[in-house]
Amino acid sequence: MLARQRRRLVLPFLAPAATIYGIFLLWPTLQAFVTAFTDWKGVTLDKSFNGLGNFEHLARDPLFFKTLGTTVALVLVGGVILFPLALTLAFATSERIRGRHLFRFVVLAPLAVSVVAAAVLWKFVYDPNLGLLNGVLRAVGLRDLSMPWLGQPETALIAIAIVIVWQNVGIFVVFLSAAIANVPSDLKEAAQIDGGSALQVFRHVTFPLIWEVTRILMILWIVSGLQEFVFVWAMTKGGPLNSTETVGIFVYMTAFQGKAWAYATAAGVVMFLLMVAISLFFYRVTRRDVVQY
Amino acid sequence: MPRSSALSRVGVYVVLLLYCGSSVSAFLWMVSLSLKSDQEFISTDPLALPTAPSLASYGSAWVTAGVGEFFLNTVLVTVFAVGISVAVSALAAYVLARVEFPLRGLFLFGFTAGLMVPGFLILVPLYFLMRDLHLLGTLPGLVMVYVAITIPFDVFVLVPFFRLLPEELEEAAFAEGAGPIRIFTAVMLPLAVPGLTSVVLLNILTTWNEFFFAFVLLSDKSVFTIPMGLQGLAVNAAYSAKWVELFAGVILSMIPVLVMFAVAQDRITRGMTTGGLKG
Repeated sequence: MLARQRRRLVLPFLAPAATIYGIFLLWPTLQAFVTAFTDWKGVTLDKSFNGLGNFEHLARDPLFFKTLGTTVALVLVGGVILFPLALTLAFATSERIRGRHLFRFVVLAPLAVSVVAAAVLWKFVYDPNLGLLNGVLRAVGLRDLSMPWLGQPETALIAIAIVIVWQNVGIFVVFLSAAIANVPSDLKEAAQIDGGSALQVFRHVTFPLIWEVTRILMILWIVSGLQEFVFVWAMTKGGPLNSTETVGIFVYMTAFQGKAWAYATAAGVVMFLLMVAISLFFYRVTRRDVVQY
Repeated sequence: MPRSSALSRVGVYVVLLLYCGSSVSAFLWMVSLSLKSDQEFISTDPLALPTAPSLASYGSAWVTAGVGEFFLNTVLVTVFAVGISVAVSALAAYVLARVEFPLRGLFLFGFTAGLMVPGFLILVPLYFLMRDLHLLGTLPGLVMVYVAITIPFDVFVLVPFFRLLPEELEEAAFAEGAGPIRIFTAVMLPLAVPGLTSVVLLNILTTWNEFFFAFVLLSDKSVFTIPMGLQGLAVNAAYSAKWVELFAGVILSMIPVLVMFAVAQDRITRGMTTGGLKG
């Protein structure tokens, strides 16, 4: 009875969400896969299919491969900084210490800041003459280490990766802390009684038990990192000398500056498929026997 | 055990103080810059404290630089986008979670698949769709895009939430003669308030700070949201040397969401974890 009554709600309750989602997200997504196979110029309605033309062109485009490499490098460099830092902070704020709520707020706070505000803040931290970083280096006698962090290809990508990590580390700390909290404390205590130091307990007891969460977070990082656009745009616009140009920037520039709409979309499709493939691959290779507790 | 745990406790403090200390000092540094004058910012040492601290830059950021207007636009966009998104997602999540119907699995998959769609994939088609619908460069258009991109996450979080509510409550209300709509509004929605609150807070976070779609879809300064406005100020500052105004604008833009975070930190973090990995 109730079930039949409830079934009458299905259409009216689904329709609003399905309509908005369908028009503004699903439709453009499907369109992207069609447009990628055309030579659409954006001005007229006529799209003629040119098969794999865009993709063949893409395979011979050195800039696309350069940006692809930069994007992957950004994900790797960022990941190498992010995960040790997030694990350390999650571990540290899980200890029952004074002020841990405040520490956790400070770790999380950058999430509340818009990417643009974070980028402006850090652009000035990195500023060669007026910046905080070089100011501190000069003040402590390390003048030789002061440099235009965002202005030279050697350091720009790492400098940006640090900002992305700074802003997002809170999400990772939240998930890792929740996972650490789920590890039964008698397991940890048993290991401590057996003489394990805090670090050993973490490495041999806690870490294997939170590995499942960690690898899902790594995929989250890969998926979001491969989409990177905003931080780079707000700090370097892809420069100097294209050294920080990600695929996201490449797609935008190709579309809106080069007006090669279909070509840009094809690049987006390729990057999307790569993203899915890389995530699935990573998901497979990091699978371990699930530890039960 | 006591010695090694005391040692690790010291280590924990050192790590936290180092990390949090540098994070906070970067923020305080920007506050101190915002209290300087442009002249002072350019000519003094970056570490020097302002000689005559002044809030003048905040006034000029708010009025002349248009940060006040950006705030108003952002509040409007956030209120409508979050309101509509959570309302339509709650309706959809309820039937997806609690009613058996054909193609239910397909709908659930369809909605949550949106979580995987990157901005760069839909960039071009969305731009032309908005142009054809005459929504390009308008705040209502931006609202619709924000609703669409937050629906996948909202449904993803709310479906498991609705699923956990006890069936007996619905049956009891039904036995007392309540219709299905009344059961939804009077019984189910109030029970879903914690889940809805989390979703609202996380959507505010997303919408208030969103830059990518605003950047692609808006072009006129009068409809700029805060991130767009700040980006504009940052570009202008490079030419007009009005740095301090920019710093004041950055600080102002951070305040509302930082306050929300400070007040509702637990709710927000719980919302993230229930939706993501434990759901």
